[in-house]
Amino acid sequence: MFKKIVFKEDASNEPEKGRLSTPMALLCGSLVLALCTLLVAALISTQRHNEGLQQAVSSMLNKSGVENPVTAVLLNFRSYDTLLEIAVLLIVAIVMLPQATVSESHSLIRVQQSANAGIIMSSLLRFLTPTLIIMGGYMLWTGAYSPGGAFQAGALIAGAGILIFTNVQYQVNMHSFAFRVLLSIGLCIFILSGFAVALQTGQFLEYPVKYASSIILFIETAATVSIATTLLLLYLAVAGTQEDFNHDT
Amino acid sequence: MILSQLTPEIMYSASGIALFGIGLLGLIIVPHIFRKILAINVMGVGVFMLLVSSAKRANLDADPVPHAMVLTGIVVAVAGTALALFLVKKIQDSESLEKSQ
Repeated sequence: MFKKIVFKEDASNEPEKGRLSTPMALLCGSLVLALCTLLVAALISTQRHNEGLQQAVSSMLNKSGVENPVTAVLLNFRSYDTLLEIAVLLIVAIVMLPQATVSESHSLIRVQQSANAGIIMSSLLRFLTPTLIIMGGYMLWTGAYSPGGAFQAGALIAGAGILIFTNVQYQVNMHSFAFRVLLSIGLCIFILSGFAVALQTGQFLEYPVKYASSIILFIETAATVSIATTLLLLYLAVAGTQEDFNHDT
Repeated sequence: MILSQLTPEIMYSASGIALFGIGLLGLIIVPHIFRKILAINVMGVGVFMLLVSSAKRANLDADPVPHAMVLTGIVVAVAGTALALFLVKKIQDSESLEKSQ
């Protein structure tokens, strides 16, 4: 069911290729040790020269729309960072999409009725998939008050997706338009919301205080969908069994 | 004299530096490329640990800004690792194709 990921060791005719000689390795080890000692010494001798940004964040927290300071920093005070993070995920996903082929089907999920998933896997899926999706939704919601948020929720839902699509019975159709929409919806909604709030406040990504919590939840929901889809694609591209990634090998 | 300064925050930061060193050494001396990718990840975890432990100031709640930076960094590290693994897989696939021809 799970194809073993094989990263081949170097071929047997050159077993020592690229390996450092022992004195060289010892030299590198002592250099790294010296570097680490230097860094620890610098760490101990450096005095903390200010109080950090904790007070700045907590004094503005009531205007951010959420109660969890980390979420406030991620989605409001420094939302540029999160926007670029979603963009990085999308770029990696685009690189790893299988090469375009003429696809006969436009549906998102291909079901192979003939394939036998096995009773353990299918009953496990029946139980785990809704549980993981509900847990993901909870994670998304609770990010406003305590640790949690879009990435954690996306990771849980991607886990459900990995369970489903490593199953031979179901395959996700990466050439379908719907899959590309799912991949990019997070970034699109993020950018569009950024411009939409700019009409009100005059600054890109500066949310009006009154609607901040709804806007953050809206953006995070879209980001969750994209993060889950991207993580699923990353897994399937590196370790999956779908022939999309294997036909050119 | 040094032991008197050994607060938990310093301990965590020093562990982060140690992880960074382990990863750096692995990156230099291990020949196989898959293990090099793992070593880069260990280095990254060391940096994250250093950042998170530096967020705690005496008598204050933890500073949320380094925490948010580390969260963003973890996501980017995941994406980078997946991309690296994907490229390694492609390279090895094409190498084995060449050998079989």
